[in-house]
Amino acid sequence: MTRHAIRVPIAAMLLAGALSLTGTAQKVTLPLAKGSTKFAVIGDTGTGDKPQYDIGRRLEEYRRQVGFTFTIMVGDNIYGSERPQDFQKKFEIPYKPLLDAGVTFYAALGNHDDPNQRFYKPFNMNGDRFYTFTKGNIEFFVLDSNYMDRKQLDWFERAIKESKSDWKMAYFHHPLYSSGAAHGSEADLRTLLEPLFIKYGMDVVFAGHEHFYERVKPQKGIYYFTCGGSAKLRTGDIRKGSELTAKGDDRENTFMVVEVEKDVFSFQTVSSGGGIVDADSFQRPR
Amino acid sequence: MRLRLFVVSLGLATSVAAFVPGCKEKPAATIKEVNRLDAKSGEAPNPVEDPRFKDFFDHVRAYMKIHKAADAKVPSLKETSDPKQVSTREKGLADEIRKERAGAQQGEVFSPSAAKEIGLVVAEDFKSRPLRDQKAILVEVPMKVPPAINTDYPTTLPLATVPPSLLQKLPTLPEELEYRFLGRHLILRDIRANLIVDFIPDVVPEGPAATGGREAHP
Repeated sequence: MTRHAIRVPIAAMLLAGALSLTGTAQKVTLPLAKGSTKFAVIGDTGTGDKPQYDIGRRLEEYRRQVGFTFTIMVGDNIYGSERPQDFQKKFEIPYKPLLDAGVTFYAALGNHDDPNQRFYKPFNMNGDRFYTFTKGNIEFFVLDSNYMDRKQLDWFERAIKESKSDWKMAYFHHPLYSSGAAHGSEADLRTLLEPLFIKYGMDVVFAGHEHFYERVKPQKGIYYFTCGGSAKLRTGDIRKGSELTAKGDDRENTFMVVEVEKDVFSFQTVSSGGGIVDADSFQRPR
Repeated sequence: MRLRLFVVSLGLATSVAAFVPGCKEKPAATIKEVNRLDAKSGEAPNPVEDPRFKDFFDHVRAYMKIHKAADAKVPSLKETSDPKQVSTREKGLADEIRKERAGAQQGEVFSPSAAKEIGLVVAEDFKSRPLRDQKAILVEVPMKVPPAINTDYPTTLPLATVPPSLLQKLPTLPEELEYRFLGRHLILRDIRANLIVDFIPDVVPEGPAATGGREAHP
C-alpha cells in the first residue's frame, strides 16, 4: 500500500469523525472547487410541517460539507396565513441553522405569497417583486411569474440585455416546461419569456409550483429545473413517459445543491431521506 | 409611448457611456427606475390614446390620490426583519383607505363603460383559447368567495395568476394596483393594502368557470 493511498482513508476517517460530531456525512458528488459559486435551491417550502423541517436539517448537513453560502427560493415561501408567527414557523425555525451560519436567502414570489413579503428583509428582495443579483460569474434574474405585466417584461428585457455575467440564470414560481399532471407547462408565460431567454442567452431556469423535482431535457439550449417539492409533495404527479423529463422524482421531498465553476454547472438533487435523486454537470455552450 | 422613449433613451445613453473612455460602467436599469416611470404612467396609464378607457384612467388617478394620502398617514414601508411591521403597516394603510372610501360602491373605478370594454377584452381573450386552456386559467382561482369593495383579499387564499398575454391587453395600472380573478369576477386589488378596490362581476365566461380543470401538457 502506498503512502498516498493510506492518507486518503485517514483523511476520510477524520472528516467522517468530525462530521459525526456535528451531523451526518452525506455523499457529495459536486467537485467542490476552490473559488466556485455554490448555492441551494428550494421551492414551495412554507408549510411549517415536518417535511419542511426534515429538508431544513438535510440542507444544513449539506451546507457543512458543500459550503454553499446562499439559497434561492422559487416561491410559495409562506402558505396560508402570514402572521408574524407564521414567518417563524414556516421560515425562521426550519432554516435557523442556515440563517445562523450566515446563509442568505433570495426569494421569488409564488401564488400563495403576499407580494408584501418583498419587505421581509430575510428574503432579500429589497422591496421589489422582481430583481436581480450577482454572485461570482452568475447573474440571477428573479421574476414574479404571478403577474407578468408589461412593466416587468420591459424591465427584464433591459436587465438581461445589459447583463455582463458569464452565466444568466432565472428563477420564478411557474415552470415554463413541466410534466406535472395537476398543473403542467405554463404555455402562456412561455410565449412571452422564452423568446427573451433565447435572444439574450439565458442558461438555466429554476421554477417550483409543481410539488416534485423534475429536470427537463434542455429546451432550445436552456436547462430547466422544477424544484417545488421541498416541503409539499404531489406523489405520482409526473406524467409517466413524458417526453420532457430527463429525470424526475415525485416520491420524496427534495432540494438541489448547485456549484458553478467557470463554465461548468454541477448539481446534485437530494431527498429528505438523504438519497441522491439526480446529479450531473454540463458545460456552458459558448 | 413615454415609456418606450425612455427605454430607448436609456439604452442609447448606456451604449454611449460604454464607449466613452473613463466613463464608469452604468449599472443595469433598476426596478426603481421603472417604478418612477410608472408613477408617471399612473398619471396617464398606457394606452392613454385609447378613449375606451379614459374614464377608467380618471378613476384610477382619483383612487391613487386617496391611496397616496392614506399612505402618508402610516409609517413608511421599509425592509424589516420583523414581519409584524409589514402586516401592521398593510392593515394601517387599508384602514386609512377604507375611511376615505367609506361607502364606496362597485363600479366607482370600473365605470360601466370601462367595465364593458374590459369585459370585452377578457371575453375575447378567453374565446381565443381552447376550452382546456380556459379552464387552466381558473384552476387555482378561489371560486367560492364573493368579492366585496373595501374588504381585504383573503390572506389564506392563493392569488391566482392572470394570464400574461391577457395582462398585456388590459389597461396598464400604477404599480400599487393589480388585476386578479376572484371567482368569475375581475377584481382591482391594492397590493400594499391588500384591499379589493373594485370589481367587474361575471367577466369570466360561465363555461370554463363551471367545470375548472387544467391542461397538463406543454
